Amino acid sequence: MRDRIITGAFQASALTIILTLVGILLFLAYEGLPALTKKPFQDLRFAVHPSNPIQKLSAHECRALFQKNLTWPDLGGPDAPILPIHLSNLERYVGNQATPEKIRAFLDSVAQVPGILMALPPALLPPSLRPIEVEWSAWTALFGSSRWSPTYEPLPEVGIWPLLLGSLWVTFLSLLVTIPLGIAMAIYVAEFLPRALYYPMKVLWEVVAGLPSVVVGFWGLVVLVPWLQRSFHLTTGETALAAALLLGWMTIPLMASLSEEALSSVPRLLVEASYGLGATTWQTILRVKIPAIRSSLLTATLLSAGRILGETMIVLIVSGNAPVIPTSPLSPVRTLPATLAAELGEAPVGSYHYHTLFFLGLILFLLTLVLNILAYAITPAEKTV
Amino acid sequence: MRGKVGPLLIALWGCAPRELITIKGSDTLLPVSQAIAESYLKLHPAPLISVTGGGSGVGIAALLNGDTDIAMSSRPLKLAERLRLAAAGRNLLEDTIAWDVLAVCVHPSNPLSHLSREALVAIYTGAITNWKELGGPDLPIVVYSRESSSGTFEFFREHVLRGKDFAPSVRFIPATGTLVQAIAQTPGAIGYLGIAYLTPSIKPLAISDEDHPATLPTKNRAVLTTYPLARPLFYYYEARSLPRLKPFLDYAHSPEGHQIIEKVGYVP
Repeated sequence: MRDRIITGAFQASALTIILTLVGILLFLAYEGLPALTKKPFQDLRFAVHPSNPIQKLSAHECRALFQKNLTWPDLGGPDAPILPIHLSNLERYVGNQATPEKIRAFLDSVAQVPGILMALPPALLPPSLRPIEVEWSAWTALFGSSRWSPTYEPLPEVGIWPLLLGSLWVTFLSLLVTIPLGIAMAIYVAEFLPRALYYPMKVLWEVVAGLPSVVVGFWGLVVLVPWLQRSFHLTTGETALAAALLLGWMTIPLMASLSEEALSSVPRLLVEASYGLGATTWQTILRVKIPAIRSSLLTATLLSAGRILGETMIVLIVSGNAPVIPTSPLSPVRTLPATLAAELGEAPVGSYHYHTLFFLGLILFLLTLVLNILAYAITPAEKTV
Repeated sequence: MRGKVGPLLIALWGCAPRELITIKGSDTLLPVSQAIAESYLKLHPAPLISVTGGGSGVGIAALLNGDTDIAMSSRPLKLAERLRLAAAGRNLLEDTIAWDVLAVCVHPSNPLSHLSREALVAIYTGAITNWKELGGPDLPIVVYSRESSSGTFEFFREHVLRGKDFAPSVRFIPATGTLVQAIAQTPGAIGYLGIAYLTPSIKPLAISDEDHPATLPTKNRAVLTTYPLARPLFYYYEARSLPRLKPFLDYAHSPEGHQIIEKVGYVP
């Protein structure tokens, strides 16, 4: 009976982890998937002057009109200057203390202007205007745009490519630091380091792995970024490269300790056979040990990639945070986690911005999950060596 | 020592429910409220005051949910928020507690001393990308902004860009301290921040617009009429909690309160 209770308790604790994971995934999906079905202007209606022949605008055209980057004649509309009115610029005309009556009077007066374009809640829209349709496709908005400007009203831009590619680019560059240095360190510790220094070295790894990333990030901003700027004659050192160097360095202990464990697990028989055939230490490491742990190294790489992908503070501080698609290691980048950290605090719950951020979180979660599952799917292959 | 902590905590706990004023919101106002609350508590120990940051939007949301007595905000309530409040029959009072003067800053080595609002718009929308187009050195402009969660960002977008959007190449910085550091170490940099954060390591520019001649930002009250980028900082609270808050608000508007506000770096 007692055994059964104890077993049950263990089962319950194991289950907790799985249930929490599933719970997080479901929550992310619940809050993130509305980004695909909702519109950012759910409670707004668009309208023009009745004399305006335009029936329908794409979200892109409409945004350009609001920013006055397009004119009515460009789209076949009236030869009149555009007058865009929406909730946030309405304040500029009537002040933010205006009573509903005053607002209505103002809107009725501007409704006479031939170039008017309004985006307002249905209750405020003057009835003399003719409603038009603005087409919004979530897929185009999320995957067909390369701009991220989610708080621009009334038509935000939520292209996720700059963020997604920014994350992948930083992860790739970081791995270029982590993989060679991590493996080199593992080989050094496993093969050449005097036994007496083995545990001090392990402790050092733990220290590096446990450093708060905000401390590393701030050090990066104050020391590494100006140094990069001077040595490469950059306009600014806040680049993907700066983030990658710091992230890569922070992840070396993880890569090294996983690789070192794998190296020490190579069967003694194999190593002795190699030495017996007259191979040198180096030949044994390169020709026997490394090939034997290839899949473990891949696992270590994938786990490191997962760790780098999710890291937030460092990239938030040193990567420049500009949502552009990176074209070189010297581009600034804005990553998925940095965007979540910077924007989630203020996105009103239930707003389109909020759902988009959860959608980003869902993508990040799935990416990390896939990396980790791959990492463990690969591991057993080695047992057959 | 240990013996004393317990009773003290119980004492605090005991008076907490009736005698606690909570202030929440804008990080720009946070140092002001903290300083005023601290010296107010020295005179009137009875109502404890708790001050927390988080951003203007966080404070206003907390006030609407009844989670705080006072919301600090570096932006006025939006028209949409007011319309919603009016519909719900809530009566919020607005109190201008101080003025913040926004400084547009560049690296000290930049020879420029003045920019017009049009030039600022061109820089922040990406139409101008090199200082030489403005008569400066042949150096690419590195444009910095605060994150979109900050009230300073919204003020800048509303009053400087006026409906235009930031260029994608603008670098968004999560905290003002980091922004100062970034401008100080980047020769081509430009960024905007509250004058309280101004340090000798960065150089403020004089700003002009249609209605204002080029003026340097200063902490002087006179600057409010000539400088285009000054903004009021607000306390919002419910009309029904005014009697409870009045002694504290009166203190904030007293000469002592003004002195504290000036000391922190804002204009009372």
